Amino acid sequence: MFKISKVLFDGSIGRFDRFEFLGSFSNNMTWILNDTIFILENGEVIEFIKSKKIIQCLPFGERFIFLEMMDNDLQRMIVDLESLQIRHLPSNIEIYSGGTNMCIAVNKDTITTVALSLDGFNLIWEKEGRHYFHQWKEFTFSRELYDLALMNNETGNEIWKFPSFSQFDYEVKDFIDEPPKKQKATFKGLFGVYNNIVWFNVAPGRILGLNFLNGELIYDIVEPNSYPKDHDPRFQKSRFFGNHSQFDEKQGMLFGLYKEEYWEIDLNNPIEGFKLYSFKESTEKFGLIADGNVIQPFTNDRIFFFSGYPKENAIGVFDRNKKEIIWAAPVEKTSSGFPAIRRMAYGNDRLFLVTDNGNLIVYERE
Amino acid sequence: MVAAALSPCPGWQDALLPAYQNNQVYSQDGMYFMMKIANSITGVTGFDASFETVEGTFNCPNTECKYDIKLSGIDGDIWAECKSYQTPSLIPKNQFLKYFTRPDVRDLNQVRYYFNKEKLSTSLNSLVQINEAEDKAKKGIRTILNSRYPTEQGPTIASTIYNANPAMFNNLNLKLDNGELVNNAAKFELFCQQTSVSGELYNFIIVK
Repeated sequence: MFKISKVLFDGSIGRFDRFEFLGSFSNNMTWILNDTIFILENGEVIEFIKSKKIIQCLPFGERFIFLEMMDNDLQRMIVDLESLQIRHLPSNIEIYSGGTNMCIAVNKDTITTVALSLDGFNLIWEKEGRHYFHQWKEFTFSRELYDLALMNNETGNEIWKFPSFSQFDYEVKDFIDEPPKKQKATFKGLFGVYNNIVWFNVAPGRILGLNFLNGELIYDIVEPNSYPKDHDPRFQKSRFFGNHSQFDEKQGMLFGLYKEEYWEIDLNNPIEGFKLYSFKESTEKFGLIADGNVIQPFTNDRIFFFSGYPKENAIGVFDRNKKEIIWAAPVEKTSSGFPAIRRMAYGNDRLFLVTDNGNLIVYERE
Repeated sequence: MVAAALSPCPGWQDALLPAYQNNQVYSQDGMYFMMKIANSITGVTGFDASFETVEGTFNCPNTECKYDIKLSGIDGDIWAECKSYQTPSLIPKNQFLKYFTRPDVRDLNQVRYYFNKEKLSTSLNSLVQINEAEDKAKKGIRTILNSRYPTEQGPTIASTIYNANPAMFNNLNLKLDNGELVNNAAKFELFCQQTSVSGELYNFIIVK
């Protein structure tokens, strides 16, 4: 299905420091490699920004990147990936979150929190003190470990707050010969807003859906409707919603691919609940499992995954409709063995793998 | 001490048993502590195997930088290291880096460092012993985070592990003493220099 078309950098980046996929815009894929931001166009590198040291790099929405760089002095800037224009920011404005239209920053001179429009950096609101929020597209949420609130974009004030996850606190036994310890349930990640429901993940093992308008709890999903006959009982139920959970916004689907099981929740009809499938037969056929630990890029029909074991490192393609693996191949062996995969990305019919030994391998469809 | 239930786990025959039979004192002590941990936790799936990363990363040959115990946990696989050390800041840095820069570690809950409380506190009061041992272990790890690798001119261990997986540390919502959010490597370095060792960052350290 795929073959290697080229290997970029060929291990030449030396010590691995930072190698991240930032996002794609107009069929271009943007990456950060140590202190260089580069864009791939049809698999070819267009070097874009080089710095002595990039301290921070945050993608905002799908169009902007916030960069904090130290050359001779500290510089902060917003890069518009559509026009490739760079706008420098005053050094006292420290941005920490951004969405589709606005960003939120701390003004270090006045110690106030400000919301600025991304098109012209016009002030939208200002509040005393440091407040940390999280933006998802055009929405602003609180950024706390033990509760969730929706904020008003025009004022920065709270609209509603889901008070505390303490009702989901749990006990954990570190040791079988000691009494269990109480652990707090914590916010794990926001999937997004779909059909006026805010979907997010609370650890351990819980997906919640709140009414976007008032924060009322509507969905609390923990267990599948039924377990497939091949289900491995060693997988605790809370593991379904680990780090491998993803949100397919186009189709309105939450899903996860882990080891030998695939789950999905159709957000167009969430009352149907959480469906769990086993694809053990195809893992046996291809001799690999989806270890679920490297972020798995996906399309409408497919999920691309990494398999670190039981054999040498390999990549595979899972068909979301058939619920089975349809292709797999080992990662090209190097002189020092089969490198582990650190990042995966997919775009323009190409699969990109960043290996532990500093290569960016580009696969094209055969 | 040898748990029959654990013997079918991968790594037992090839690596654990020979080490168990090694009569060097340090080997026996380390093995004793590791078996004490393995016998008192649930979900063990493997032992003492090489990390699945290429040799040479952090100058850490696979023969030296193995994990002790692999177990199944809430957020995915957990890799655990057992240290029966009197001075926690002397644990190998290259091995520590391997644990925290694994491509498949995406949550701090996926790494555990177990320390032997009897080596870290002589208190006869068990609660005091646990608190003293925990504090000493955490401060030792703080020293490791603030140290540099591979040389004194190299990057701090804190910045290396942060850069390998910024999201893992950003999700902890760590704040500096002045209230600033930790959201880049420089601030994470500053956070690790702070005196307090309480809080989410150090939760991977467990004493037994």
